[in-house]
Amino acid sequence: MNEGMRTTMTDNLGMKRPAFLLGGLALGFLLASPLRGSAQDKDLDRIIFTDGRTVKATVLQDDYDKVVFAKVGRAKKEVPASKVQRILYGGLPKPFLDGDKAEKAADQGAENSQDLYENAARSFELAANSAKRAPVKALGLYRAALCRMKLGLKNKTLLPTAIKAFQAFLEFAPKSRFSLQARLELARCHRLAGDLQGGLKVLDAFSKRILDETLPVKWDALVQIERIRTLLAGGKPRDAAPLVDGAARSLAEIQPKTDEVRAYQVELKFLEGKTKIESKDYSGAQAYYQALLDKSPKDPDIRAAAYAGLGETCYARGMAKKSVKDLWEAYFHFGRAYVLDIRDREMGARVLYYQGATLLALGPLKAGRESAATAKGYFNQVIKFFPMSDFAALAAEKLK
Amino acid sequence: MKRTMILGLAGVLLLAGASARAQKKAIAREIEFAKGLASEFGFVGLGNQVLEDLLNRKDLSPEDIDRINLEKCDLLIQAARAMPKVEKKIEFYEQATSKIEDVLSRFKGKDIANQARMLYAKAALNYGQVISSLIEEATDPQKKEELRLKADKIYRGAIKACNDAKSALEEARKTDREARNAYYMAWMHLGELQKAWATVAQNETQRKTRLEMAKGTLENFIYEVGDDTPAGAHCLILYAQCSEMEGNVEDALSDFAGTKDSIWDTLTSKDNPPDPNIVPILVTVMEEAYYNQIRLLNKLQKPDEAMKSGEEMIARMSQLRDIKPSKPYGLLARLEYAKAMVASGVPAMRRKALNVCKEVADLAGTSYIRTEAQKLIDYILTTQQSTVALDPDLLYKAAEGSFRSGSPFKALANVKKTLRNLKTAEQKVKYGLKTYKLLGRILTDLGRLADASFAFGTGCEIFGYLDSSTNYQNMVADLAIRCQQVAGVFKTRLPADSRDMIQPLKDYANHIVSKFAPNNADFINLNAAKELLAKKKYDQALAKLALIKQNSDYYEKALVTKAKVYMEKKDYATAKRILKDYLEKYIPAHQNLQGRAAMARANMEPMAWYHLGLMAYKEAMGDAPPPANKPDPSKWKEVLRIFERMPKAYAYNLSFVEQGWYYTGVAYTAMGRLRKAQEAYKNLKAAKKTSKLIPYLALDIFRAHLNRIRKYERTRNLPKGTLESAYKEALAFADEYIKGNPLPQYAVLYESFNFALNLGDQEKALSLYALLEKFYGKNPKYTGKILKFVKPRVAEILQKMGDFNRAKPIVEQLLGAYKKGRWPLPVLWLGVFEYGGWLEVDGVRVKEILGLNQPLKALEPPLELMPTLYKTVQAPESKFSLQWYAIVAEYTYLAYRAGLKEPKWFNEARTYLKVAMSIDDFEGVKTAPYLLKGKEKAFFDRLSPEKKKKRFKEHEKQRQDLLRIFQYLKSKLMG
Repeated sequence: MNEGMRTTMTDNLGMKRPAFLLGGLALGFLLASPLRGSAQDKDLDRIIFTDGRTVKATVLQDDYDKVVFAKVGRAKKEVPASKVQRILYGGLPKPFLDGDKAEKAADQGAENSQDLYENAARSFELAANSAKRAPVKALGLYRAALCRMKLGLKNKTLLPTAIKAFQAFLEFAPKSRFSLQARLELARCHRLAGDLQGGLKVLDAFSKRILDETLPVKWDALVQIERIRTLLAGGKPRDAAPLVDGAARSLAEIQPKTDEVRAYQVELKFLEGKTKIESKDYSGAQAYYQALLDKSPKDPDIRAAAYAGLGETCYARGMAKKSVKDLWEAYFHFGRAYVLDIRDREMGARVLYYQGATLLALGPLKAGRESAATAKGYFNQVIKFFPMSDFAALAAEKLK
Repeated sequence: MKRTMILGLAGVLLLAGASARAQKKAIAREIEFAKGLASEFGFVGLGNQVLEDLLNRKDLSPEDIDRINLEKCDLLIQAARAMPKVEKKIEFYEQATSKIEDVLSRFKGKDIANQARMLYAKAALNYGQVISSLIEEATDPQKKEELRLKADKIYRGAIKACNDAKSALEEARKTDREARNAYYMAWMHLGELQKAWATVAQNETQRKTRLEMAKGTLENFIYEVGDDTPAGAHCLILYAQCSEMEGNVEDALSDFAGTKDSIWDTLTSKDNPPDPNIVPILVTVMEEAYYNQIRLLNKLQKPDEAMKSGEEMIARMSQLRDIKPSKPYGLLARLEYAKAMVASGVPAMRRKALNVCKEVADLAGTSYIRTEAQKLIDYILTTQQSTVALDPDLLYKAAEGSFRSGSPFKALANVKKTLRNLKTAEQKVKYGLKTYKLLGRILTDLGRLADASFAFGTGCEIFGYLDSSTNYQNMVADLAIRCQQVAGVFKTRLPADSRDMIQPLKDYANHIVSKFAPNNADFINLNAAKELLAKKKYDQALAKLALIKQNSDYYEKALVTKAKVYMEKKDYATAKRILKDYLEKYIPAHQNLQGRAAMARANMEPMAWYHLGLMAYKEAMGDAPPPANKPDPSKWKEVLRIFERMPKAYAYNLSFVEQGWYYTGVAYTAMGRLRKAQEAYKNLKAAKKTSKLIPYLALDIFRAHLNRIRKYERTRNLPKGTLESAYKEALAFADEYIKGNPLPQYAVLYESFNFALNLGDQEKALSLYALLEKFYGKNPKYTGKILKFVKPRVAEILQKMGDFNRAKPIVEQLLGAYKKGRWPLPVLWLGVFEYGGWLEVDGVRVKEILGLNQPLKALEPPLELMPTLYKTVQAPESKFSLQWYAIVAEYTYLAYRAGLKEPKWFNEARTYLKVAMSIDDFEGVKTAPYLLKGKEKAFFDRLSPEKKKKRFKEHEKQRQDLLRIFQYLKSKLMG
C-alpha cells in the first residue's frame, strides 16, 4: 500500500484524503470561513454531502454505514454514510486544536517532529477524554492513534503504543467512519512491529466484518494486499502468492478507477514478483519483472515497479551470493526506478532506501570513497520526505 | 540589496564626466564590458577573464593596471554576493578588502585611491551584512562578540575610507565636476555605513549615538543636494531606515510614503517634466521607497496596507510606458507585495501572488531575487495546495528555487510534482525535457551520478518524440549527451576494479546517445576513440578520430586527443607537431566560435598547452621515450614557459590553474630556485585548498631543501651561518606545509625535527615530536622508527631541560623495547641519567643533577643499568679511554648518591673513585686516548684536519671537565 493511501480516511468510495491533512484543512477552513457567525453557529458541525449541499447540525453518530444528525429545534435525521462527503466538526475543545497544530507542524517536517507528534497525541487523548459527544471523542482517539503511529514509523519501539491506541479507538467506536482505515493501520503496525500473528488476526476479523456487513469491495482488496504484505514480512511468501489473484480481482471490480486504485494495481504487480524473491526464486522473479517491462514499454508506473523489482531481485541475490556484480546491477535498476517513479509514494521510499543499502553493501572499496556519504543522502531523503512510509524507521536504523 | 542601487547611481554620476583620452576610453569600454558580463548575465568568471586579458596589454600604465585590479575586486565583491555559501562569501570579501587595502596603502593621495576607498566602502557594506547575519545565527556569546568586533572593525575602516575620500576631494570638488560627484558618493556611503555600524553597536547607548551620527550625515547631505534629486531622495530613504531602527516606525513609514509620492509628482509633472535621461533613476528610487514601505508594513503585520501600496505601485508603473521594474528594488517591492497577498490568507490574493512571483522570477535573470521568488512560489504551493491550480510552470519554478536555495530533497519532490502535473501535450512539450534535465542536475549535485544519467536518459525516452522541430531535437540531443557524460564521470569516481561493473550504465548511455543524438556521430566517435585509447588500442583510436570532420564542434577535441594518442604511443615528435599546429595555426585562423565549439576551445587550448608542458616535463625528468630518455635539465625552462602562464591565462578553469601552479613549482624546484617554488606552492594552495597535488609539490620542495642541507653538510669551508639559514628556511617551509595539512608526510616531520635539533631549538623539536606522535604514533609502520630514531632524542632534550617526569615514560618505553642487558649505549645512558642524574660542569663549578633521584634503580636489580653500562668499557682496548673514565665517574656519582640513602653504597663509591685514582691521582684522565671504533673511526678518519682538530679540542674540554668532576667526587667521598 502506498504512503498516501495508507493514511486515507474514506467517507465513501469516491472521497479520499490523507488523514493528517483532513483535520488541518477542516479546521483551517472552519476558522477562515466567512459563514462563521454566532457562537451557536460555531459549535455546529458542517455536513457536506456528495451532491454539494451543506447542512449545519449536530452530528450524533458518524459511522461507516450511516450518519445521524439533528438540526437546531428539529428531530433526528439519519442518512446513509455514502451520501456524506465529509463532516467538519464544530466546537472542538482547545486540546484538540492544540493537537491539530502540533501534528500539522510535525507533518511539515519540523526539526522536533517526534516531540510534536508526542504532544499532538497527548492533546488528542486529552480532547477525547473531555469530549461530550461520542463522534468527537472517536475523532480524538483516532487522531491520537494516528500520531502514535507516526511516532512508531520513525522509531519501531513505539509501535506497541500505537497498537494500543488503535485498539482503544476501535473498542470505543467499532463502527466509526474512521474504523475501517484504523483496522488497516492497526494491521500495518503489527506487521512493522514484526508481529505476524497479531496482524493476521486483525485482518481476519476485518475480512469477516466485510463479509458479514457487505462492505464495499475496496476494503476487501486493501485487506488482501495488507495480508500479502504481512505474509511476506513474516517470511511466508508461499502463503502470500495465491492471494495475489484474489486481490487483483477485487481491485478490478472497484469503480471508478482512480489514481489510487491504479497505484494499488501497480503495487500488486510488484508484490507478485516479490513473493518469488522471498522464495529465493531469483530467476523466476527476474523473468517476471522483465516480462512486465516488455509488456509495458510506455507505462512509467509499471516500469518503475518492474525496475524496483529487478533491483530487489539483484540485491537479494547479490547479498546471498556476495556478488558485487549483482549489487551493481541492483543499484542501476533502482536508479532507473527512481527517475521513472513520479508518484513519490511508498515505491519512491522503497527505491531510495534500497539504493542507500546497496551502496553500503558495496562499501567504499567497490563503490568509491564517497559512497557512504551518498548512501546517507538516500536515507535522509527517506526520513525527511517519506516519514509515513515503511522505510522511514529502516532508514533511521541505517543512519545510527 | 541597496548596494546595487548605490553602484548604479555611482555609475551614472561618475561616468558622466568620463575622460576623453582614446586609450582610456578603450580600456573603460573593456571594463564596462567585463562588468556587464558579470552584472547582467552573472558571468563573473568571464568578466574576470576579460579583465585578465586586458591586463596582458602592453600599453598599460601602472595606474591603469591598478585600476583594472580594482575592477577585479569589484567583480570579486559581485561574485561574493552571488555565492550561496557563507564561507566562500567571506573568503571573497577578505580577498577583495585586502587587495583594496593594498592599493590604498600604495596610492595615498592619488585619484585612484578615492576609487579604491569607494570600493572598500561597498565591500564593507556587503561584508558587514554577511557578518551581521552570522551574528544572528550564532548561539555562543563569545562567538557573537568576536563576530561583532570583526564587523565593527570592517565598518570603522570603511567609514575612515569615506572620510578620507571626502577630505581628499574637498578642494577639487569646487572646480571639478567629477571630483564633486565622487565627493557626494563618499558622503552617501558614509551615511549608509554609519547606519550599518549602528547594527553592531556594543550597547543601546552606542547604537543610539551611531544612529544619530548617521542621521546627521544623511540630513546634511539632503540639505546639500536637495530632496528632489535622486541622490537626495535615496538618502531620505536611508534616513527613514534610521528612524525605523530607532523604533519610530510611523516616521519611517511617513518618509517612505512622502518620498515615493514626491518622486511620482516629479515624474508626472506636466509643467516641469523631468529630463528623460533621469527618469529611470527616479523610477528606481521610487521603487526603493515602495519596497521599504511594503517591507515595513509586512513586518508590522499590516498586509492590507501593504497590498494597497503594492497595488498603487503596479498601477503607477503601468502608466509609465516602456519602463520595466527596476533591479533590484522594483522586483523586491513586488516580492514584498506578493508576501502581503499571501499573508492576507485570501485565496484569490494568493493566486495573484503566484503570478507576481512568476513575473519577478522571469525578470530577475540569474540574481538571488529569482531564487527568492521561486522559494515564495514553493511556499504558496506547499501551504495551500487546495486553493491553487497546479500549474507546471509554477511547480517547475518552485523546484528550481528549492534547488538554487540549497534544498535538493525538496527540489526533487517538486520536480516529481511537476512531472505528475504535465497533463496536456503542450505542457509535456514545454516542461517534460526541461524537468528531467533539472532532475538530472539535482541528482548530479547530490553526487548520485548514475541516477542523474538515468534521469537525462529517461527524459529522452519519455519526451524525446513529442516534437520534431530542430530546437526541440537539439534539446533532446543535449540531454542524451549529458546522459553519457555523467555516466563517464561516474566511472572516474569509482575504484579501478569496479569500473567494468558499470557496463549496464554505459550500455544504457550509449543506447540513449545513438537513439536520441544520432547526428552526434562525431561525439560518439570521439568517445569511442577515448575508450580505445584507454585500452591502448592506438591505431583504432586514430581511425575513429579521423572520422571527425573539421566542421564539427568536436574537431578541436579530436585534434588534442589525437596528439594524446601519439604521446601515449611515445611518438612525441608527431604529438608536438599536432599540438603546435593547433595552437599556432588552427586557433588564429578559427576565431569567433559559438556555443559548444566555443566551450570546447576554452578547454582544448589549455589542454594542448598542458600536453606540451607534460612532454617537456617528461623530457626534463628523463621519462620521455628514447632517445630523450635521459634527464635533460635544459627542458625545465620550457616546462616553466608553458605552465607559469597557465594560471593567469586560463583562470576560468581551476583544473588548469592547479596544474599550472603545480608544474611551475616542480620546475622551479628542479632548477634550485626554492623561493620561487615556494611562491608557486602558496599559489597552488590559495587556488585550491583541497588540491591533491599540494602534498606532492610540498614533498618535492622539502626534498630540495633537504638535498641542499645535505650538500652543505658535506661542504668544507662553508661561509658561517649558511647551514643554519638553510635549516631555518627548510623549517619555515615545513611550517607552512604542516599548517592546516590534515596529514603531513612523516619524512617532512622527521627531518624538520632533526633540523630543529641541529639548530638547538628544543621547543620546536618537541612540537614536531608531538606532531609525529599525533599523526604517526599509532601507525605500526612508523612506531618502530619513532621509537628508534626520535624518542631517544626527545628523552635527551627533556632530561637536559630537567623535565625528568615527562622523560620518564619515554625512557621506560625505550628500556622496555629491548631485552635486559641488550640496550643500545644511548638508551643505557638515558636510563642511567633518568634515574640517577649526572654531574655537570658549569664554568669551573660542578653541579649535581639529580634526575628522578632514584640512583638505586639504576644500580640494583632488576635493571642494573649502571653495571651494564660499566661492562661496555671492560674490553682491554676501551679501558682507560675517556669514555671509560666518564662511566667510572658516573658510577661513582650514582653510588655516592645512593650512599646518602643507604650508607653501604659509600664504600662502593670510594672503590670506584680509587679505581679512577689508581693511576696517580687521575693522571690517566689527562692522557686518556680518543678511542673510536668501526664506523665512528671511519667517519673520523674522513674528517678534514680542521675538523679533527676541533674534535680533539672538544675531547680536551671533556677531559678537563672530567678532572673537575673527579676532584669534586674526591672532596665529597674522601673529605
